[in-house]
Amino acid sequence: MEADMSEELAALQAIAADEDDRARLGSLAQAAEASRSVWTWQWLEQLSADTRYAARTMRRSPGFTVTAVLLLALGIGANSAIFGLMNAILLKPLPVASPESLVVLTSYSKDGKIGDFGYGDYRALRDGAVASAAIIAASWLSPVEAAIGGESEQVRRKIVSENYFEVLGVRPFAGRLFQPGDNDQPAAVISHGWWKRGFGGGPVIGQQIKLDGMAFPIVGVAPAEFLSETTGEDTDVWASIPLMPVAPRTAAGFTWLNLMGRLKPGVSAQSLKDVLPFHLPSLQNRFIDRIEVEPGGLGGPGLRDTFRTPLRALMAVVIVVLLITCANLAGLLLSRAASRQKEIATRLAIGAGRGRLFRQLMTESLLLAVLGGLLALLFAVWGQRFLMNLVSGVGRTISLNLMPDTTVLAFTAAISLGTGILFGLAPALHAVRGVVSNRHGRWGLREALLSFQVALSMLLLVAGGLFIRTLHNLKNQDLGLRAGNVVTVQLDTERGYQPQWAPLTGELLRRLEAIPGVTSATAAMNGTLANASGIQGFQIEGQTSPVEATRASANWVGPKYFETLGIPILEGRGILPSDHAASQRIAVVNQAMVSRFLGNQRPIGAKLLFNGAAYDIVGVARDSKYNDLREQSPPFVYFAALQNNSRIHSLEIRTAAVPASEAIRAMVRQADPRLRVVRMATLNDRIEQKVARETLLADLSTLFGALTLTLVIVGIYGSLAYAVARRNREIGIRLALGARASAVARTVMKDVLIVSSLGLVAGTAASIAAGRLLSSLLFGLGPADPATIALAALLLITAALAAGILPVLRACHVDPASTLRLE
Amino acid sequence: MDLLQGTLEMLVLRTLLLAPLHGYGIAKAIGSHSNGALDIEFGSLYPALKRLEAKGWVAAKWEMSESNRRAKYYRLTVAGRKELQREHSKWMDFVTAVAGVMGPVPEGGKG
Repeated sequence: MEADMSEELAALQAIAADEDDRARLGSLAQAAEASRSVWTWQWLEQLSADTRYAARTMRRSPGFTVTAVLLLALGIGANSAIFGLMNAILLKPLPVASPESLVVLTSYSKDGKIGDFGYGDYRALRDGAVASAAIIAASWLSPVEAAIGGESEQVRRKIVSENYFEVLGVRPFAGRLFQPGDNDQPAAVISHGWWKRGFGGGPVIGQQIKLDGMAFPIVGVAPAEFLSETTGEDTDVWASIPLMPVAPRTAAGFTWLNLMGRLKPGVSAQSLKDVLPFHLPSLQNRFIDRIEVEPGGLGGPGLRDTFRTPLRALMAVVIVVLLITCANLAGLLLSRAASRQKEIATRLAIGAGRGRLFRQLMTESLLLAVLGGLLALLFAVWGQRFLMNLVSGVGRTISLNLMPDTTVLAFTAAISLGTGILFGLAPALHAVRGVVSNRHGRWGLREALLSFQVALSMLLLVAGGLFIRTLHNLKNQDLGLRAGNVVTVQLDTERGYQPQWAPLTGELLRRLEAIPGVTSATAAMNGTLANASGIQGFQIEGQTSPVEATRASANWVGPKYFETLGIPILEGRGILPSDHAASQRIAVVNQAMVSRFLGNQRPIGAKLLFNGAAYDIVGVARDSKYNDLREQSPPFVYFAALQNNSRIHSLEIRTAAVPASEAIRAMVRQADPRLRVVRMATLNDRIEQKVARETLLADLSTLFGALTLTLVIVGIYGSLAYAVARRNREIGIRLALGARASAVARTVMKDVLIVSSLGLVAGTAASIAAGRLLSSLLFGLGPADPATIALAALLLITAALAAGILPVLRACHVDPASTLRLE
Repeated sequence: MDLLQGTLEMLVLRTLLLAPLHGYGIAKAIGSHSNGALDIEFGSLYPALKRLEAKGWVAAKWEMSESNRRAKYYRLTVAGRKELQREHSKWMDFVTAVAGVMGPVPEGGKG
């Protein structure tokens, strides 16, 4: 339009010049400008007319409008919700100054990823790389009771290096944040959230809080938007590293600090990575083999590693849901176009241009999409709350800032419009071309849309089936132990309290076993299915394997450990009360340990040399799961806790009846009032926690699978009902000519079967391809699982036939006389 | 001479009743038919032309001019012709009404 106008004006100028009459034209730029505003005005006028007309059409068929808007709101809302999570977890940078120059440091051993670092490592790296980057350290500790005045509250605490806030570039909301020198005196910074919740937003600087029995003055409040350096974490209070419980903090080989850094100007992540190894020789921890440096603008890995693949899978799922919604609505619109045929024909006849009419129809779909999109934002907020509950319900709570930001709003707007075009385009084109009835070809747009829906629905059902079976496989696999009826108690002590663990453990176990209903009780340094310690540098006596190469997992456990957890001893014996400090040091190993390090040697009687002591191997236990439900059992060594005076973090109690949690708490208090029960859970709860991610995937894909199945049923029903109504006369004539009702039913059903079979074939191919993409999320089954595919196909065929029954019955009951009279 | 509101579009429609014209031709025709009394500014004529086009009262087509130049020619559509009839009778009513009020030219300065 613009180009045409400049061409026209140029032509006019040439003509005027020919007649030497340029003055008559005056300023052409002004004329052009004024004309442009005519177009804008005209466009706005048409748009508002179209919108008014569309709104009127929508009001005339409220049933269709409500259905369409709700379907769209569900489809778009699901996309918005998942995208919002993706945005918060995978896309949105930390709310700190120039997040792009932040990096995350990750440690690796020769065997694989470790992730965190020891305190010594941190200091060596911080001082060594000072010219390239400023490095900070942070560690999340389990929540503790914090005493403020007379009251106490559970708080989430984080201990951080004193340069933490300064390097991140976080500015205080009130008071000050940490500064050099805070390592020498107690100081705490509290979060904006806790300041509001715990202190009512009142004056707080200088108040004392007691953490672990130690008083900390509050020096400042962090800004509201800053929750943590790691996405998904929320912190109530930050304290500096040297102030927190000391015992394992500086131990060699104990890694507990997450490191991040801010690159100095002109330094790249790669060059920092090149510099770091020069400082490795001074590291105390020789099993850190290399350090990876990755961009850290999004914060520490936290949730990202756990949820990246599931979130992408979910995003794909909801996109498919939206596509099915589009196909379904397109089908509905086609049927409507058929019933509006007269209206459209009339409008064409009185001179409406086809382009104009097309625009009108598109305005109707876009208006539906916009309404759906607005409602979707509401659905998305609810949906996200629901999702966060699903994920946070077990284990650590996850905190994300999920307020829809411009990215999420833009995404929602874009998919709303895209959706409107997608479902409106084909029906609108069909309508203005006047090919709504496709009387001649059996295969029209309507049938193609149905097959498409069946195929996509198949894809979702198969994915859902794969996730459900994965969850089932994970939970019902042979864990190597009997998880039922076991209660695990996480223990802690008061700050700085160092009891004599061996006698205390003996006392605890005696008291616990006296509780009615307790079958047996044992203790361990690390909780079952929680974390295991790694040991390295041990040797089997008589072997000359290099010390560095030997690495296994280990736990220090009390008597009756194997009986309590139901781990079978295959050879020799388990750990007994008689394995005390004065007797010969012993160890029990698992099968993987035997096959990896003992080879053909008889395990019983072999000696394990570790930390300067020799341990007799007295038993072989069956392999079991120790931490990760998906992993192969690693080599594992059980040492006797009583013999080594080991610190106990966990009590494991097998009960015959319902776990008596109050009795257990009381017994622990009686045994030693300075012990604290941090958390109590059954072993089955712990397994549930470990499969939280898989549960989420299975639940959501089932939900969406069911939703799309419903859509498919409704789609097939609607389309068939329409087809039968249209062919009323044909059916009537056939019946009048003596066709049997069953033959009529067969012809109608044949269409259903052809449409669904084509969809199923395409769906099977698509789900095999998708299964491959999902394979990293699956467990215990291949990506092309025949049982799942067969079940999904069966479900769909049944649904399709069920959807067809009513229209078919109607076809059979067509009264020949009445249809013929209609002519 | 200043034009009354909406008159310009009517003039354009009337001009096009005789024959299709290009933009410059319309401006010139209005000028000469009014013996130069109505010297229409092209800056207002051209947008008016576009408004008429948007309303579907005129249609445009690229053609060759008599001087053998390419130009966009506007012609009256059926709807435009009806509109012109409507406008014309409205205009005549208006003129008659105003003339009735004004009467013959008053004799000034006597008495």
